[in-house]
Amino acid sequence: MARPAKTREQLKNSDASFNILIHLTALVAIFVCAYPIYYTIIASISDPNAVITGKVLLWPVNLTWDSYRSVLRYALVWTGYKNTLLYTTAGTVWNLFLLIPASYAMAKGGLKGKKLIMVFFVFTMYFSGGTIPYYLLIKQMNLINNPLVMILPGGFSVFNMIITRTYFANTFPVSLAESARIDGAGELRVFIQIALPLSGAIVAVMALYHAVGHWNSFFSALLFLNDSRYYPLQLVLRQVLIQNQGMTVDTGNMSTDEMADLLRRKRLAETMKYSLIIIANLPILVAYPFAQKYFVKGVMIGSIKG
Amino acid sequence: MKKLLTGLLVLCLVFGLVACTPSPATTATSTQTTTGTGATTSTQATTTSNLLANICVDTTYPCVYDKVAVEIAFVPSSGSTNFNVNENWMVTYFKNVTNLDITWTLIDPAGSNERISLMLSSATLPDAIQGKSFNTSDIVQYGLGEELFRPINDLLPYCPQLSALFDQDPLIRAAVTCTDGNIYGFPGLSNVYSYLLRFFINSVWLEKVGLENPKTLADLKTMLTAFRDEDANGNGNAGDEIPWSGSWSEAGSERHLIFAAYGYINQFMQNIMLDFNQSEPQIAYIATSSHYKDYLKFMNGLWQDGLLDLDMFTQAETQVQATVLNGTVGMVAMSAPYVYDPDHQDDWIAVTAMVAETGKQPVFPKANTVAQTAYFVISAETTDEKAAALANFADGYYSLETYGFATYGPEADTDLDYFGWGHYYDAEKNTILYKLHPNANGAWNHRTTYLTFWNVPGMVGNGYDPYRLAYAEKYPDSAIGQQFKNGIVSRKDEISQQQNQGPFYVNSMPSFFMSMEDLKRTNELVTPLDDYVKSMEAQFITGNISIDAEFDNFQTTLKTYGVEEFTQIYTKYYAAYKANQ
Repeated sequence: MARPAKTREQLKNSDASFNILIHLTALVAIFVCAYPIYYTIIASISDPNAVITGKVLLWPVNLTWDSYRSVLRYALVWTGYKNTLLYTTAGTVWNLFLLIPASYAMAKGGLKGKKLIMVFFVFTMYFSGGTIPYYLLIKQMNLINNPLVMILPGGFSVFNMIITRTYFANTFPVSLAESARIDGAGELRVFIQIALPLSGAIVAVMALYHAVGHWNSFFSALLFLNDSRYYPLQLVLRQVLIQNQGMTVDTGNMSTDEMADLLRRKRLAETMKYSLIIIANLPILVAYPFAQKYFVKGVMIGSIKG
Repeated sequence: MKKLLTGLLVLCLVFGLVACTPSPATTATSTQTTTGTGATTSTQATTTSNLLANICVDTTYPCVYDKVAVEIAFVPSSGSTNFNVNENWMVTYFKNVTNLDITWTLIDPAGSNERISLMLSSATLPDAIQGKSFNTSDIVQYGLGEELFRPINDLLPYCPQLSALFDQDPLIRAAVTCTDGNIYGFPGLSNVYSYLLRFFINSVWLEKVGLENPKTLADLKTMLTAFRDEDANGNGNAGDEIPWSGSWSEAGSERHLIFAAYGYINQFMQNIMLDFNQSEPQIAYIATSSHYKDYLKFMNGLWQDGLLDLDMFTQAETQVQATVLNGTVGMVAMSAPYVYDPDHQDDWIAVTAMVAETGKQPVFPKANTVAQTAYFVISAETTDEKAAALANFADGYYSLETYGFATYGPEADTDLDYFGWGHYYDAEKNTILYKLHPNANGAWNHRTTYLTFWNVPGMVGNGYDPYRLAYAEKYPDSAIGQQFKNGIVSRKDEISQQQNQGPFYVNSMPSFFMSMEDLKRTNELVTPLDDYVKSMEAQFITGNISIDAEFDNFQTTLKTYGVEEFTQIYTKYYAAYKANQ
């Protein structure tokens, strides 16, 4: 032994200082991560003028619910909410419908041509066609300006399939399937009545991944949806916030009416900015703590073999 | 096993290729584009000496005698919300009068740039695109280069209004003609007065400090100093005045006001400008011009003396407006006093065109006659008949009556007011008001959503004084006629700008149609140059970097960024433009 063992007291002191240091760093990290969210909340209930002039720091200034009222009165927000909920639920169901059976099949030993199928799957992870061929494909499928364009394309995620496959391979004992087959169960029955109920964790995690992805998606909507009836919430958000900031607008050829309207929309954007962010992300913020236990468990799912 | 694998992969490759073979329709279009439709169809049309009989050129509407079906993609104004073609008056009007079966495809203004880029990159255009302002670079790229737009030269016989305009003012035609002699779209025009640099001074403050509207930069500095020191807003606190407030990052027109005083003009807020200090105007890049150092020193002087808003370089327009409402600003750029300061709008007067030294001729920028080079384009793929019909349709926008409809919608309680949302004249307020749709959140929103498209070729954007007068003469009993019966009604701030700046209007440099290589080169050079100037200028003015110490380094760095080549390209095009006059 190079150094003498520390006495109990010495251990306590060094442990204590180490603990304090760790706790301090953690507190700083928490503050840095939590402050933006906290700021968004207090800014959304503060007077917009105070927010614009930078008076809001730690406490709300001049409490007002006006910005929430403007947001909730903005008809497009309700349409966007309804559409996003629709796309998220339908999209996640579609994703899971494609994902779980495929991963189960890939995890099973007996699938013929499994290696070949895997090659094709992985190949798509390297290359994609690009935006223009993708646009042409969607156009030829007649999905332009069709709400299905938010649900159907991109239905199968190879990355998630690999994770789910590993889960099935590790947690589903072959003996269980064999005993079920001895009792006369077919493949489908084994899958639905035995494998699926046991894989609650992975289904929850994948549902969460895909739901969040659908909730945040806006690019497909931007490219393919013309009608504001089909807009998801994120696109409405973009319309209110980014379009109304008017930073790159050339006002040289605008009539005064247009410029006045632009200023009005900029003020509206400032007013609605924070409350719109809260409203748009509230379901996700609320759902996360409940799904968290599955999430934490699921983070390690794809990693351990055997 | 390996053989099987490779065999399967090869089969997949073959199937993939077979599946991707374009259908006959698309093959036809792809070969059409490669042979250059523009050139071939124009020779075809010119050989047919008769006009297509179906197109009606004698009257504005109808456009055709036998119905023709066309597809137009359009971008409505960004002031519209939930634009619906079934609830828009102008769509219905056109359906009733043009005898065209138009399928309108809405392109939301929020994503219009992306959507139209995709359309153009994938060469899947409808028959026409309306409402997207294509500038000269777009025309060179998509019209001349990729031949996606059909030249309208041979369609001009179907466009009596536009042809008349071209005859009246050949400069308009020159401004929209590309280097190959083709005109690729229908332009939108500016008004006689264009208020490009909208700066206003509080006249009550001027009176209080006993000064006049400054005519030189020295006068300007004296005035701002007086605002700062002499409790100009009269509230007893001599320290709360902000002499000159603004938003450098959002509008950035503050610098152009001072550049104009030094004799440098560009209607777009760009760094490449026309130098009016010589006997003949010349192209100059402002940061390498002979007066730039004086400009920096002048602005630095203002900053050091506390005459500029401390937040000038960082705040947004909404903050400027909040400060104006506080009553602590002396001089500011704003769209109009009634927008920023409605309660005291009459207090504000427009700045005069200033000079740097007494004795020089003041200059002030005026917008070029052509505001949008192509606001309506016809696809190169459409049939000749459809193209002629569309050209005649687009030509209708230049007529007096359609100008009235596209600006104000129908008059209320007339036969044309299909939905009951028309305009009427309020004699007491001497203005035109609207019967608002219940969902509209204001007159502007109502007009751009329920009455018109607004983004159309013609003279809609800024109004057109000659047409306002013509309307009053031709239709004295209509609402529009009554509004303008006593001449061009102008707001107080417009009259102030016309008086103080109008006499000094000079034409800025036009938008040039550059060759693809020059266009590419200027695009490469402009961003690093402009970004560098922007960051250095702010630091020079606020004193973070010493002007005397670092100016020469600044000039050298600009040269390494290629400013000389950049200026040279513009000089070449300007010389060619002058030679063509």
